Amino acid sequence: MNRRNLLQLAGAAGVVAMLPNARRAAAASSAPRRLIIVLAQGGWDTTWALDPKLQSATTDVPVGAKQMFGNLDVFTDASRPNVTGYFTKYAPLTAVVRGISVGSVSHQECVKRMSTGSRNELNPDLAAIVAHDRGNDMPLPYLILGDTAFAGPYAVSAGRVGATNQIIALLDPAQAYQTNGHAPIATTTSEDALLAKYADATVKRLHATRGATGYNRKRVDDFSEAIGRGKKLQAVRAGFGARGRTLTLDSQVDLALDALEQDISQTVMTSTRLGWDTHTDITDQAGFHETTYLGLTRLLDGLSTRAGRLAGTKMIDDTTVLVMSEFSRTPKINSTGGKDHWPVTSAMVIGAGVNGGRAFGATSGAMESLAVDFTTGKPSATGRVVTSTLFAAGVLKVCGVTPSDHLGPTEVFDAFVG
Amino acid sequence: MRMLRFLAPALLAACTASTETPAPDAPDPVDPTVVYLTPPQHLTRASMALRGMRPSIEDLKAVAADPAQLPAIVDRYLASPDFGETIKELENESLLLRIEQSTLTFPQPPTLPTATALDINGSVFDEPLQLIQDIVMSDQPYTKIVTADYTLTNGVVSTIWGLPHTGAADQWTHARATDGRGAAGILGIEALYHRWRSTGFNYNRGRANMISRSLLCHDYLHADIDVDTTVDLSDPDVVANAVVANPSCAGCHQTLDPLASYLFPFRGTINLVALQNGTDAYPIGGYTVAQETRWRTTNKRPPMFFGTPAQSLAGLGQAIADDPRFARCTAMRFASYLTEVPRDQLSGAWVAKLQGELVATNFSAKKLARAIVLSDEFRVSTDTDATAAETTVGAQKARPDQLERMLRDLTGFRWTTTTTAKLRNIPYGTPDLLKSDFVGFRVLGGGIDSYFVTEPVHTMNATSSLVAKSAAAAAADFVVEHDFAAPAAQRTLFVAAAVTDTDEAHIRAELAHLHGRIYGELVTADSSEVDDSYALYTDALAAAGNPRRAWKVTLIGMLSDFRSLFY
Repeated sequence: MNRRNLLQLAGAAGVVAMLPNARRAAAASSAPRRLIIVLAQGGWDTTWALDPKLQSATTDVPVGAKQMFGNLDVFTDASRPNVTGYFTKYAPLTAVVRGISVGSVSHQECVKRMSTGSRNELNPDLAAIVAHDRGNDMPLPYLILGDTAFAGPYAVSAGRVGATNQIIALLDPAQAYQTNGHAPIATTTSEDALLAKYADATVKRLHATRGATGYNRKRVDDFSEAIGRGKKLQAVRAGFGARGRTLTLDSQVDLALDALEQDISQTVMTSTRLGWDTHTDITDQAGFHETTYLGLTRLLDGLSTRAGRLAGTKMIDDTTVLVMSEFSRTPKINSTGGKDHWPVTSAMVIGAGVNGGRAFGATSGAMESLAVDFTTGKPSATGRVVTSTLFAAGVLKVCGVTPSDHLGPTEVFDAFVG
Repeated sequence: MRMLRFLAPALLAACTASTETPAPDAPDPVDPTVVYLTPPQHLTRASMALRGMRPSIEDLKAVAADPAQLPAIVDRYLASPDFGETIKELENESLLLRIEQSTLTFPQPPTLPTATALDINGSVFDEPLQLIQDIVMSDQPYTKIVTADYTLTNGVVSTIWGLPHTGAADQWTHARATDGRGAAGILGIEALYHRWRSTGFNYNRGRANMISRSLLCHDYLHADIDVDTTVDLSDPDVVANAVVANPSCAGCHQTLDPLASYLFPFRGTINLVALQNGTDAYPIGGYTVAQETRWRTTNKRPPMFFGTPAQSLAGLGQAIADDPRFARCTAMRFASYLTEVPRDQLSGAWVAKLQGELVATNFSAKKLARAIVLSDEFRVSTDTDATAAETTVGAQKARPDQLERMLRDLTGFRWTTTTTAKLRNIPYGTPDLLKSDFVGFRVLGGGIDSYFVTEPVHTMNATSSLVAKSAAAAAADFVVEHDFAAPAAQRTLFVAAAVTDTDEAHIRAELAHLHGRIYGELVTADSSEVDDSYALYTDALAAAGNPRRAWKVTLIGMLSDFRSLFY
């Protein structure tokens, strides 16, 4: 009996209670990695931390200096203690990938390219892929706490919580919205069983007719599967908190940790929810970096202390964190004190499966992508530039997914894979 | 694959005399593996696609008896206000206007102290959609959406932009700007540019691409380019030179920047903080004619439409209307929306045929929609060829907006709630939960928020399943209580039985009626379909011992069933 059969045979609530142990057992053989993406949407300036540069005629840098954390060089300053604090604790777990060429300076286009490794918004993003391939039997394989995400063909595995965490209104009758002054009708467990039986009869009928094959069959199966996933979510509703809660990065971190720890989800998309698009005042990046690295420290603290899937391990042993922004900002400050869009960026890959404690890839003093050796990740005149697609392929590989299954035949920048 | 399979029949159809009457459910002579919907199923799909509502029993029976009745019923649908709502939803999926972002929500105007955030956003961002709806529903040429010399205003729009308004504050009425912006339809509406702000030294390029992408289906961002990182993108003078002289830039900017140059009379961004703290005041509208030449000091590219000179904003609108890509893009957008087939998977021959019909009918959007829903491409059910079946969209999912209208029409229920939530510190208002992103379930139900989520989800997932069940439960509760208390003649759904009836004959008769009304299935009371629903009712009755409760459970099952959520 495989895990899917088990889920089909058992009642939802009972199975959910069994999930952590079951997953730990499964993990022994396949070690599926969890993935948390932290998206700094709007375009961070990599000179403020991840890609240290010297002030020059071609590049404006903030106050601070390069600081070594083992073999990892980061741009820090006493005025940004959260950045320093993060790398002091977690540099050994952190790989910084520099010089990722995104090939555009449009927000939407670059978010799509960095998230999906492709040019098509109908393709799934990395978290959707990992959820589908490595955790599709969970109640909500792909939990979207942030704003932008691409579920593509794996939409059935994805779910959003809403701008004010209104998902809880669907999960917890006590927090459901009142309509016309009275609480909505809530069905009993036995009534739910009757409704499931009725839906199942429809599914059988459709399987025998216009839903027998192809696109229609997938829609019918998604319909059936979604009902089951919804029930599983209701069984773990305590992890979703209260309605009306605006999800700051810290709130998202807590929710993400709970969802992963309880095996509600395999992957989570979060957002810093900060105004990184600093065209008119680049110094805003200071506060945004501080908020973000404080949140990252909170996240890594949680991953480092909560139990992992295998006995004696921590969550960080089976969880990978990807921190990225769709692009970076121009090397030079513009006439209004800000920086504009720049098609080269850096990202962090942290935790399980990562060769941490150093940087991979490189940029020139003027922030251009440099060709790198894909084996070592070091600059090489005979190397190639790391594009968003090749980087995405590497992240998939870290998470135990075969990149070509989703991105087609592609090279993989995997120097940072441990 | 699907595209190729439709190529032959479409060409064949183009070469033969057209017929308005869909063929009976017989094998296609060119593509014999295609299976078409039955006439009642076809009517159901047309009704949902055009109105977001299920067909009446009478109309279902009419087309079952005589499929030739279908075009006339479709004409009736096209004349209904619900088709106008569909048009706004269709256009919004391209223009992405219906947003609920705090950072783009106008502060409450002092003269409108009771205006809610829903009132403000729902007015400001709907203005372009209202204009398009007005043009389509009055059957003016669709080209008017970029050439009309009027707009529509309500009280909020009038207050914010300073446009004239006559009539009640909550009514949309025709109005004309007097600031010289010219006859440019939606291109002359400030809300479009407030939604699509132009920051820093972007010089309207994002806006220009929005216009090109939405109206011409030409998206510059799809171009395969290699951004030259030796160019200092922070220096507008360097950029201005590069977009002319640097080959990697000029390829796109040669046409993009002149298009952007038309838009300088609109402000790049509107300072909402200044409006909030009182350093700026309403009305804030205005097309500043003097700014028409601002391109000389900014991007230095004279206004031009893909190499063709066109004078001012009105000239731009006319140039777009005259561009064959506009007709083609319109055909693609309508066809994709109404069939849920991605644009790049539509049959090229079918799109060409629709484009031709649009032009031949003097750009009648109604006739375009009519041609689509009466086509073979629209009424496909499945394909017996397994490979072709993979891309045959034979089950369309109701979008949240459609689900809202469907439930309202079926049960008389509106899923609204009161909330103390505030958006930009403005009381949010009373949202319809299937149309709200901020507190409601539009995105969780598979819809778009037009900002972060810009592609609808055409399948079910955990949250959309929960949304569907919750909405069904609320509607079922409402309609059962209503019909329980109402005189027989005033009941909404219970026409073949009273809510309290428990005898099998009445229950089965009522269920047969509900199958027709909710699923579009004309089935008899002793059919196997009704057997399933009857089992649900009797089991629920046995569990609860209460007919009202049993009917509520039964209706929850039916309203959240696949046959209700898909069409």
